[in-house]
Amino acid sequence: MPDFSALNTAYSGLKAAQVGIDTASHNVANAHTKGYTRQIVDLQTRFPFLSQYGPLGSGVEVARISRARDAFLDDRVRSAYDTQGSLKERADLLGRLEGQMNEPDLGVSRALGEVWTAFEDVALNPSDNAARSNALSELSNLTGRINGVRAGWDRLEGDAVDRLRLRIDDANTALRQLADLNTAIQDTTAFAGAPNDLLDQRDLLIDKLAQTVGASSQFQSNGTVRVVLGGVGLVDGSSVQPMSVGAPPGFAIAAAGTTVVAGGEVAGIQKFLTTDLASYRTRLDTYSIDLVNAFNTQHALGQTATATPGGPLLSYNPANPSGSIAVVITNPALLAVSGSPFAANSGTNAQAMANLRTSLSANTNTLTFDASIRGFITDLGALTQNETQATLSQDELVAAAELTRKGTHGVSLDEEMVQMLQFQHSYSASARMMTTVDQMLETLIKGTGIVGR
Amino acid sequence: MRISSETLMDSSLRRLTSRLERFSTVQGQLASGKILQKPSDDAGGMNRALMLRADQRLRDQESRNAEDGQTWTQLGDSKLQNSLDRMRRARDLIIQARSGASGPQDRQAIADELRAIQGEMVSTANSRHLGRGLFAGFSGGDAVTKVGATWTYPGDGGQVQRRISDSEVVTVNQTADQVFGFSLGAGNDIFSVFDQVIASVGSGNDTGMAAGLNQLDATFGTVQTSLGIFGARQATIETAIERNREESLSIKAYLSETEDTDFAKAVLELQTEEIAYKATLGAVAKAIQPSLVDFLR
Repeated sequence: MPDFSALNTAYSGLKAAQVGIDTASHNVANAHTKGYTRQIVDLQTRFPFLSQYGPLGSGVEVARISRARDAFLDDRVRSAYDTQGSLKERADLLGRLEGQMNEPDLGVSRALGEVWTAFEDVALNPSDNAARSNALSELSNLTGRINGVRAGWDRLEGDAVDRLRLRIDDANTALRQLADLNTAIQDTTAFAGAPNDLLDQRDLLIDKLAQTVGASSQFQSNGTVRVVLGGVGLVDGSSVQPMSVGAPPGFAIAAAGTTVVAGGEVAGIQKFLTTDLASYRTRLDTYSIDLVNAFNTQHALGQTATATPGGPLLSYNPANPSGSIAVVITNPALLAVSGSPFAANSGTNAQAMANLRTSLSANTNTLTFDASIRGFITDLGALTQNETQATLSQDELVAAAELTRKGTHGVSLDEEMVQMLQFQHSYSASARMMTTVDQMLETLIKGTGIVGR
Repeated sequence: MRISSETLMDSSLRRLTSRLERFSTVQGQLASGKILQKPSDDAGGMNRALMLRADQRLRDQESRNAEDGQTWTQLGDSKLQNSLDRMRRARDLIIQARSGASGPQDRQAIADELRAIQGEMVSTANSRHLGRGLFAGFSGGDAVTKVGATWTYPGDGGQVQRRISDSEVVTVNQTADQVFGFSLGAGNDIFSVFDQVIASVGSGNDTGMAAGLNQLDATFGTVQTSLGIFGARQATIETAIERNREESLSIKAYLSETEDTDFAKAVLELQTEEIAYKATLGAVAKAIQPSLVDFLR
């Protein structure tokens, strides 16, 4: 046991207090850094000297600087993020799908109503060219609206696919960054212990991956993290398996040569593309075909102003019915307004066209055109409403999970101030201790051998 | 639970945003006057609103149809009333011609007047409404023409129909062949009867005049029947217009209840939300402000 070991002990106190102050100031500086985890200085006593009186304390040392991280809270937040990402993207896209329909004021339902009215007006005054022209223009307004909805949806599909690719690109970037971090962390851990700030960055990337593709993570014994999606290891140590987006209509995600079922935002976009948009587009297509068939069948039963049977009134291209539905006839005289046989002032067929309103010609002959488009709008509205509600409640869940996590991981300025004071006092006290020992030494050195002088 | 600085900021911000969102929702409802702005606001309500809008449009159309039908029946009615008057006058003239007091010159004058009446009747039968023959069915031409010595009805049996409700369709025209006795057999239509009577009056043929009188009475009957039919249809149409007006009003009221903002309620809500927002602002300001830093020296 060295003499005056208290000098050394006090010195260890000074050093520990310095580290404490450094860490507190690091915490304060990063109080609002995204993903930052509060760091805690773990102190422990140094190995004691063995004196003749038993072990004698030899001061303090910093065992490690640890992160206040709780992996369980991370898991909770990440699974909440996964669901939220999926719901949010789908609800957002559905909202835009709904928006493209422009209901109730500027949509198909209103245009259809105007068509019935216009044909009934023709029936009131069959020989009036203006009424016929008006019926044709209302009809082309209707087909224009349907074309518009379809075009809007096609644009939306393009946007959604772009978004899907962007998300996958983002996720791939995150995977690469994560692999780099894995390497850096492994290297650092080997000689200097866990690099807290790198771990924070990695956790942030894992959060992002959970939200984007719903990937989960497994900690490995060497300090690295393995990122898994659908059984496929996307990141393993420093190796990366980037994901790719498949061709339409499935837009399947593949990694390492296998198809993986993604979660998160990617799943929401995929679901929108393959289920929602596809089914509503089919419905609009069927609706367009039904419209064309019903109008053309009825139109052929009538007679035009030149006493010939009505020709095709509407047309569509089977490759894209709702996008191509159009009015064929431009000359109002060719509108088959008269019943058969021809009569100059007969509006029987115009009335019959207006009466298509009540015929069950839509939805495989089960609904009227009005009811069918109404059902369409209501279904889409209800779905959007549901998904939006689900997103809102999931938002609450995410917020709650995130709040708990931030409560544990986050920096409390008050607490850091207390830490600061604590270490400041500890530093002062250690310094005083050194002064005391110093004075004792001075007494010994200067006072020794001058007895009686 | 441990509260970190970030937790406090985050939860405060969330509360503020959600308050502001509610505030802006109510504000939007007030500004637009509609609580239903898109289907997902309330899918059920939107379904109802769309149905009501379609109904409203139908009722509007039906009232237009009914008013158009009313013009047709009123015009037909007044034309036929007029014809009946003229026929009564013709009857009086024939009786006058048959009385012993009429000399050849008187009969000639009577025959002239009868010819004028016949002319009026022809123009009545050929009268037009918006360019269409009132009594000509769907045909574009005249309802009554004389081909050689024979009066004919060149029109068709076209029935001009008006839809006045979901289930009611009213025929608003009648054709000249029914009204003016073409259906009573060749030579029995009113115009041929006039030809015959004019000739008989001119020549003083009393048997001919007597027969003409009988035939005139028969066609008088058909015109009266037609008048009765017009009357009944007019009554139907008027009832429909009245009913339609009432339905329209109740649809409007219901539609407004479904999709319009209740202003009194919305203003009250806006006020409440404003107070709540201000209170949240105050609370957040109080919660964020102090920290130990302020108290350490």
